[in-house]
Amino acid sequence: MAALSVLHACDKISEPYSTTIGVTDTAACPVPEFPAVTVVEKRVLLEDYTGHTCVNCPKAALTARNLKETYGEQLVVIAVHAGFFANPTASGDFTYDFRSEAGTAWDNFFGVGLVGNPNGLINRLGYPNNHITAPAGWGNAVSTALGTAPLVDLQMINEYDNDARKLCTHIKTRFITSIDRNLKLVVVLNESGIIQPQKNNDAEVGEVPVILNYEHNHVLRGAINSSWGNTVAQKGTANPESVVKTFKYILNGEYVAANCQVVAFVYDDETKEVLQAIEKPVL
Amino acid sequence: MKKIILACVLILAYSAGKAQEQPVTGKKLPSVMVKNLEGKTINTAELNNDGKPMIVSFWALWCKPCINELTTISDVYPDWVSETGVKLIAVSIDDSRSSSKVLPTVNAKGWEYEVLLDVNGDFKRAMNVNMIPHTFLINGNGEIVWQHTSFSEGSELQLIDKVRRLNAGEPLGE
Amino acid sequence: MRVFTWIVPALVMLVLTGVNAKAQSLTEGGRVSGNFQLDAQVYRADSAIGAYEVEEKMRMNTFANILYTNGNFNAGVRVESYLNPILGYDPRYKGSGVPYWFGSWKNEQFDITVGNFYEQFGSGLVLRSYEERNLGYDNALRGARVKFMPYQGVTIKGLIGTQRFFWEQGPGIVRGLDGDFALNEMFDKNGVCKTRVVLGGSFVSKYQPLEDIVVNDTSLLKLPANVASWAARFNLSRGGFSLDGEYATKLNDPSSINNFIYKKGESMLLQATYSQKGFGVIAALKRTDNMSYKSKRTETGNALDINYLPALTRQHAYSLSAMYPYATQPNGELAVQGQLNYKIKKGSKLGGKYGTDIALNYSRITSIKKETADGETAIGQSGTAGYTSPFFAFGDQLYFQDLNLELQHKFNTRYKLLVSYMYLNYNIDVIEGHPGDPMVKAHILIADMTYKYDTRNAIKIELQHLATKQDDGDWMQYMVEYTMAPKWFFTFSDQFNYGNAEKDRQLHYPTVAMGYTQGSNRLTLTYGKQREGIICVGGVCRNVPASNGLSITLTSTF
Repeated sequence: MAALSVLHACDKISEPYSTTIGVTDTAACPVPEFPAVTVVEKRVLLEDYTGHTCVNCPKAALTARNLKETYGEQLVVIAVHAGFFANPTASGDFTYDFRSEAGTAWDNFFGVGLVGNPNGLINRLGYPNNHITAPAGWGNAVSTALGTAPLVDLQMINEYDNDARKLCTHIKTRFITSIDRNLKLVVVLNESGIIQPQKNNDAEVGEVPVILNYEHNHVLRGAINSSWGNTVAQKGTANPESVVKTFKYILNGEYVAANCQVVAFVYDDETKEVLQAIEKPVL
Repeated sequence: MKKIILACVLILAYSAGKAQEQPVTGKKLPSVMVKNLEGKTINTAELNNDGKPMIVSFWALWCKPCINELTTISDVYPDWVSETGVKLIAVSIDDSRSSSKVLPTVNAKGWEYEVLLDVNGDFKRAMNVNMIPHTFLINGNGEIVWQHTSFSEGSELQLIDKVRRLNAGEPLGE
Repeated sequence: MRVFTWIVPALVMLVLTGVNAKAQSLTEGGRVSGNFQLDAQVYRADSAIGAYEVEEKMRMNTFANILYTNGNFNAGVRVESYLNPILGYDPRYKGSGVPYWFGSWKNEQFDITVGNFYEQFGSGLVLRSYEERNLGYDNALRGARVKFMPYQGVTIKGLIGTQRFFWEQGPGIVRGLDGDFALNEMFDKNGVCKTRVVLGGSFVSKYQPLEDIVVNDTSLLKLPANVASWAARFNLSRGGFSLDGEYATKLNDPSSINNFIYKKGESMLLQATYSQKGFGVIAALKRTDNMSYKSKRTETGNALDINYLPALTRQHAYSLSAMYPYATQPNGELAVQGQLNYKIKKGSKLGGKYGTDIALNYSRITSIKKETADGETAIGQSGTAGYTSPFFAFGDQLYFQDLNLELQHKFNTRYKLLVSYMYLNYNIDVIEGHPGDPMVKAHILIADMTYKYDTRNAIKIELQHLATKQDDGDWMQYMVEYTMAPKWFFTFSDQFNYGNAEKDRQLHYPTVAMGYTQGSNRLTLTYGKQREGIICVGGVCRNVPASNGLSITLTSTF
């Protein structure tokens, strides 16, 4: 059996052995001056793992929307379309592909799709055995997470050149207390206002069995740096006062820039817990 | 925490190992409460056949090879009993979804075994049964001397062979 | 809690070393036994059937049980390791550890267990804690349980514990009390009375700390921290006739599964059977209304169930008859089932030398009738009383119906044949979460022949056919099995979706398997493709992915 597993468990990689990620291009994107911060705000990240053929998901998206109305900027929502119910069908109404490499990577790692949809992660707390929360528990989890003081502060400035479809996003990570952990920064692009069909089984939320003109919001389009991010702090190394990272990203032709937002979050690489998040529109 | 458990297990195994250096009796049936088809509670440690061998076979209505095994044996059971005096006890692990169907099914098939109902798997767990059918052979002293899992056509011949050897006082083999 | 978890094994250890240090005669009679199982799968990507690339390539589930018995004392541990859990198992099982350990002591009157244990009250309508290792189901209770038998025929059980949630414990505490009274053993020891009567009752309560749950945008629910349930049961039998009944009810339990309504839950199970040699008949009725009972309000998966709601359908042993299995709808269903077993006598014209077995089975499950609680609020609206439901009325939706006839005949010492016909109605909209899809109506035919060409070698051929105009269309399956008793078997089978409306989805699912058994040790290897499945439980739909590859199972009892 060991022999069999060895036979199948080899991955042979061919050149080139690496791909470049998150290279900052300060020539194309000159770093601006960040304003001083007077009040540090704690913001919580809610990831809603969903899919367009998932019949119970519109109700969960409504829960997320209500929470966003209650908490405003303090809640950052990403709708991660991944797993079986996000797969495009060969023909019919559900051929649109909402998936992204980052979303699929997160779903495979956290196993959310295998547990079922809809389900969510709040600040990725409770990993590895108790991180998946059903929509009914999101309200409680978000308010509990907001109750803890932030250890890190994030600021973001976006500049967008419409003709070149070039987005320059600058993120400043400031350490409020000294943190001796391995921290990483992930930056992603979301798009709202995508009108595509969505399966539904709750008449109070929309038409059953399909909402043909459903508005998909906060859809994760892709990572601007990479699925698991760049290091901003290392164990054993003293934190600088702040770290500024700049990324250049060219928006895909079909994305509507006015509906796009950039989301950045800092997380602990060992526990996967998200320490702080921020969201700013592209325009 | 894991280390403490591991230590416990090692000590358990050691003390049991030590115990087995004594002039030993074999493993006996554990004491678990199950019900028979009349609804009476039976203590499995008290199952006996007056000093003659017993076969304890775990089965369920949804397990085809188990039904096969018990049907095949039921065709030759009267011969087995008159030759060796053996008694077969069929323990059903059907849960409340199907346990009430055991009595009518057994009667309709005309099986003459003693049938016990182990609805929550307590007896199965105490006997360390993983997959059914799982059949145990118990000698006249109540000790488990042989066990076998799975069934194919002709496996019953191996079983009756073991019973005959047991009666004759011969070694049972594998 | 942390302190508690190591104190028990430490105590067990102390007792044993103490016992060991004393006279050797005390350890005499101590036995160690156990079992072990390993399931490993090696995966290959196969886009045709939808089997995606598995990053680890190989996944494995293992567990080992060790049991120590010495006179009245028992102790045990189970070690489990999921690196990573194989497809179809909940991914939250990832990791290794010791989730199950216990110590127990019993004598004629008392049976005390400390640690993890499994228990069932009556039919499980209010409490059933059990394990089904091959499905990855385990809601073991961890705490303490006492069984008290003060008098012959009377059994009283009390327990308190938290439930297993993968590698942690759920947030709720479960308390239960059960009494079982076998009246004949209590009052009629001489067995004069021909009628047997058993009565029983249970009371269970769960506690979960309060939390904030907001429904309908602005309503903050006033939640019950303690939810109680109770059940009463009876069992009457006389001669070949028997009647069993159990009724259970649960007080207000707003949860994710029932959409946070405050209606009480009710369930009832009634079964009548009659049997004599060669003939058996069963009729059963089951009603379930809002009886999902979990120790965590917001849990929607297959974990933390306190009770058990059995599906009143026949468990089928052949893959095509089990292709559309029914899943109990805890929010409401009304089921009836009837079964008839008859054996045409040996020696008669139709019976042949060995007799012919006939089994006829019918089940029908519908929704329950729901009406508004006060004439205005929508049915099932969160934060309200929900709805009312007349007790014996069948609802409008048919969930499942199956009619099955099975004939089994042994011609001579060499040939055996089983034929089966089934007609099935399956509401794929509700059961698999495909809103708008029509009811699946299928006819299933099975023929299973065995030919023994000498005392130890046999060939079995199975032919199955499923005909339907809905869902994926017609399927056919054949399997050839060659067995060399008692050790070896070899199997080859193929499942073919030849009737699929889409030509490129007319797929084959071939597999080859072989196995070797020696005593209580068994090794099986299977190589081939497996279909995917969808399971919807309480508002969450989960997909069991298709797979292609090698599967190895090793099991042993020692």
